[in-house]
Amino acid sequence: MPEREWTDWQFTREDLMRTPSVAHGWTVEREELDRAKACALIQSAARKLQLPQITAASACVFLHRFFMRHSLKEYHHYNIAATCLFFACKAEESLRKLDAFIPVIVYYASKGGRRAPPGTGEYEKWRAVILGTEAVLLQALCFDVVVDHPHVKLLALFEAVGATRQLSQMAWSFVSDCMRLALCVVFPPRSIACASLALATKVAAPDVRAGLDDAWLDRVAADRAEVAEIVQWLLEFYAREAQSRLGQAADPAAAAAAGAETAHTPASSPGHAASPMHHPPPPAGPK
Amino acid sequence: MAAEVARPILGEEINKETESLYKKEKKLGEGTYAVVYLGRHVKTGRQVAIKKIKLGNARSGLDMSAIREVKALRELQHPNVIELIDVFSHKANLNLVLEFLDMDLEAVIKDVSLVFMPADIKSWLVMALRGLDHCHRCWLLHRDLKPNNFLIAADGQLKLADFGLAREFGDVRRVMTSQTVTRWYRAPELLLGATNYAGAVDIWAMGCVFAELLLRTPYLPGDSDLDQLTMILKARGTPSETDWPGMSKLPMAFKFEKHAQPQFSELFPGASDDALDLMNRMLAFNPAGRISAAEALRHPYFVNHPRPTDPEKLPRPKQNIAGEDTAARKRQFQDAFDGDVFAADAPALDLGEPEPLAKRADLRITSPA
Repeated sequence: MPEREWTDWQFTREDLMRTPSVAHGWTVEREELDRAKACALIQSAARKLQLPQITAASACVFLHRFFMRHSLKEYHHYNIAATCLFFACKAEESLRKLDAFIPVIVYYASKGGRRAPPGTGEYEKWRAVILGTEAVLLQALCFDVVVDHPHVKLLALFEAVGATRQLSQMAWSFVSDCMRLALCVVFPPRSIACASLALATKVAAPDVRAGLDDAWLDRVAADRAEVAEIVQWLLEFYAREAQSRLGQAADPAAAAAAGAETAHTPASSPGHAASPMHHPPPPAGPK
Repeated sequence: MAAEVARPILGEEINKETESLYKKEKKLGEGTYAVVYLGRHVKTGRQVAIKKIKLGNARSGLDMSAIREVKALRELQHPNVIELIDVFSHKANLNLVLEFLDMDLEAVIKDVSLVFMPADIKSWLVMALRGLDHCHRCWLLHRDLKPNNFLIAADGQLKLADFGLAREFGDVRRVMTSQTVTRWYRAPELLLGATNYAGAVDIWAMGCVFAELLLRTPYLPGDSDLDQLTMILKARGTPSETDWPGMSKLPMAFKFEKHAQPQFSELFPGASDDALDLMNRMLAFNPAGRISAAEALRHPYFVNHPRPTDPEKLPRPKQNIAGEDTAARKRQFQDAFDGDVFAADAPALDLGEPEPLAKRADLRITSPA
């Protein structure tokens, strides 16, 4: 397949400081966190629904693209997360029925607190949101539904550099975390893949790394500047997220909520990052 | 793009702009998931077909076929694939603006007033294969090739259309439905329930269309899935395990009745040896051994004399789709059975009552989604 043009959806980091949400009073950090939460919802629900990881990844890309054009003030990030995932199911040929889909979304969106079986008012509300937002989403995406993913490039990289299975799994979970950030609208998939593997080699124990050093980046002709920027962005995000957790921990109720969230969204503090074994194993991936 | 954030042009605005460029003029037809209108580009006056996708059933929102079609046509740009000019949405409806093509190959085949020269058939086939080869190079399966999905432009160019069942292939781990392709053109591996298949299913359908061009009537018009398989076995001879390794491992495989291979040269009296050889390779039982679109294009048939007819000089019916008269078409089609293409030699192809037009309408299987 010819290398796809990804540049149609290329923004700069400065663009992320003047999004529609920022115009509506969101801070850049708050927008990042809201988007990350929405993507975490997508990833948890996708795992529960046994969707291919590519479907979840497409949904995340759709979400980031959507919020380059629309504001979080007008569209709640969880509503868009649900719509994006449902639409990605169609775009990636991994259809799920709304009857099964909505209860899972509601479960994770409410941190396990709510049930919405078909026939309930809550179910109907979500259905109306998902179906009503679908056309808006498709418009915002300019009907561009084919997405390239770093995951695919990562598989090729594993082979090219001869990564161990454990190292591959670490890189794979970093790439999942990358999907939560707006990286996919700033950097090409290949750089994101390289950065995930680079970070994995950096933090891995020597036996996992199996003698792999930075030299492979040049062997695969990676853009070192981009890779460094992505790694830094990801690490900063981990730090901010950990901090926001610590902040919440002062308030016992919030701490409980944060704890609950951690339970279904095995997210990304640097501690987790170093041992990402709780993520599903990589390549066996899409069913 | 960067500039757009500073000076926001939202999706809806672009969309509205696109919508205002086209006006619908006349309803051309209605399918299971779409209504097709004849339209016009307001400024250039170019005729277009506007395919308005009906809002999917309230259960699952936008129709999967519509998404497949947008996805496929966005990827494909080729002289032998229908052009997707624009997309816009109106309220909750999705509108695809397509190149307007007023004729399809089915109408050409059925028009008995037209005489096909071997060079004409070669010309249609080479255009169809070029379009298909392009799809397969882009890792897309069409999955619904049949004569009325080959549209014909005013300049005679043949174009693949209707990508509502198209999807990517190549990932061996992903299961795909075997319930695809209109039955008469469905490959044996699909009839036996294969869930992992590739370009070969499109080639089989193409082989059936090739035969249909030679015969001027559908080659394998089965009236149920089982009947379809029986018809294939009778027409092609029952394959042995060496002809088709792995055949018995398919989900719905069973022990077939033995049928000897008929004499193809007698069934297709007008066809040259190279044409028959290519057709037989396209209709090989073993999907792995079936010729690919790229290989087919290099087959001696396309090199040997006669040269394919210039598309502009190909025979075409006088009436086009826009002014279609089905009653007339049906009569013409029945007349076609008076021809001698199915001589006594083909007991396997007992067609029974000649009402294939009605059947053809029912054959369109619903989207596997």
